[in-house]
Amino acid sequence: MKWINVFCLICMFLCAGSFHSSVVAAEKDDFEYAENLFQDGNFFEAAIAFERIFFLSGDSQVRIKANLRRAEALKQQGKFREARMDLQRSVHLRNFPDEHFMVLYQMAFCDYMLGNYTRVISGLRQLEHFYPERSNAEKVWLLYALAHIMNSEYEQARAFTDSLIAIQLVDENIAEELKRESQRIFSTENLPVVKSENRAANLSTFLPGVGHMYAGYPGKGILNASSQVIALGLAGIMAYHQLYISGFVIGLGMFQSFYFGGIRQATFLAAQRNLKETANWKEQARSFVIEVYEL
Amino acid sequence: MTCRLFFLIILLGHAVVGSGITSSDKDFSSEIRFIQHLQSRGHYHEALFLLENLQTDDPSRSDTINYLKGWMLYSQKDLEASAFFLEQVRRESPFFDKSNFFAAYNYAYLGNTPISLDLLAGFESHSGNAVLAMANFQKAGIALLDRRFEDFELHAESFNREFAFMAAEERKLGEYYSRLESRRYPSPALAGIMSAAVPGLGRIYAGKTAEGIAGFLYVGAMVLTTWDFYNRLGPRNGFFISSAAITGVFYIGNILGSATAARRTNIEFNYEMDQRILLDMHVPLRRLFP
Repeated sequence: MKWINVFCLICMFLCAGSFHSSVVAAEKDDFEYAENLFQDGNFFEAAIAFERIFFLSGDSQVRIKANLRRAEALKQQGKFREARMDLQRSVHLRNFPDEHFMVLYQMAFCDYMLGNYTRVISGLRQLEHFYPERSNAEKVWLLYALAHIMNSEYEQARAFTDSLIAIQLVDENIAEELKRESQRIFSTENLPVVKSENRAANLSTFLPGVGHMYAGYPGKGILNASSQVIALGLAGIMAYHQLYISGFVIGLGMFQSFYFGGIRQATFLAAQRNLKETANWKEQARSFVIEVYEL
Repeated sequence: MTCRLFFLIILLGHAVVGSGITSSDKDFSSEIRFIQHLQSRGHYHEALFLLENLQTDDPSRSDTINYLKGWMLYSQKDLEASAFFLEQVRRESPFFDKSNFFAAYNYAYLGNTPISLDLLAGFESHSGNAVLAMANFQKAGIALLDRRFEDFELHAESFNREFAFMAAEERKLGEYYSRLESRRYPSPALAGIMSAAVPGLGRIYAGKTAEGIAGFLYVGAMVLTTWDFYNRLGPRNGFFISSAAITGVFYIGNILGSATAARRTNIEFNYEMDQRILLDMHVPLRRLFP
């Protein structure tokens, strides 16, 4: 009787082992299936397949890996918000440093793609705090530099771009050239000059057309100032011909439209110019940083 | 003995797992659990894709699939498609009550109240008091949406504030009924006549006071300018003729605008009331079927 029990226990042990290995094999198959879908470019179904692994697996490491691959599939579909939301499920799993590092990095990347640059920087700082030894990776500096550029934080952007150049394994001459280019892009003369919208409005309030000129649109300023003079002139001529009511309604009516419209237009033009100038500079700086990263 | 029993169970379990379950053979309920997991995470598109791939001849499973599809489409505010799937859930299904109520609500929201009433008629033989009271409440709401006040009064007689999930909304429907019944809609024709007499007055009558004052000011200023030209330059002068023509166009435009303002006020009032009624029909439904 005793030996029968011992035999059963041994069999149970072997069965349990075999069951565990069959579960592991099934997970491996599922991963392979999901990866194949991903490789075939079927990102939608790949995302579902990775989510299924995440949902069914009892292994935390498998789950975090599946979650990372799902995020990749979602990113390929342009679903950065969903990818970030799903990655958050694994943010507490610090016992798998490689995967945890990637989770934090991918979250910061999704934040960048979503245009939330302040959150990118705070995410990368968190990553630096947890993994100081890994945080000097090119991709981390790249994201830092890009986020600071987009946030118009020029000093920090320059520092991270220079750090990126420093860790790139390139020829000394090329590195020097890159540093020179970085100096040029981030030099005060090359940085976008931001015009104050309030100042443009104030100038146009007291000196019609000058706000437009300050914003960089002298033609529009002259046109607006001339329109106001003509409207006032019309009111004067009408009053001279004793058409007081018509002069008041038509002449002064037109004048007030041009006057207040001019103030609003000057503000709008200043904002428009700032946007254009900054966008041009950001595009230039971003292309440079990406070029450095790709070396 | 216990040890051997365990051995047998494990052996059987192993045999099942070893037989090789492919993704297409996966258990229906586990697939539904996964779909519900996707739904809970807000991945409706993916969940709907999986539901679409679930083929079954079993009517009870079809009910589950239709209910889930309908509910997810409802969450995505695709009310027409949602109503289509919810309507297909059979009476035998445990999801029937919820599906039928929400299908009826969706149709009501889409303005197709006759179908809503047909669906709600399906509850007449229902045994649950709460469900019967809810059906009556929904019918009362639909009667208000259709502005059938007599029907509303009939349904409102059964409002007894007995069920906490809709006591407040029963009271609110009563308030909407009073507002709708006592409402005096501004007449577009009268608004036009009033604006013909005094520019802008019709708009003020229609409840658009600021628009009325603005209308009075610009038409008044144009009339004064025309009079000024007439007074100084005479009736044959080009400035007078042009000014009079422009003023005439604006004067007539103001009359037409006043009539439109009255129509707009009525549409806005009806829209606001409909939205409030629909909201108060919806809230108790979500309380009864969370």
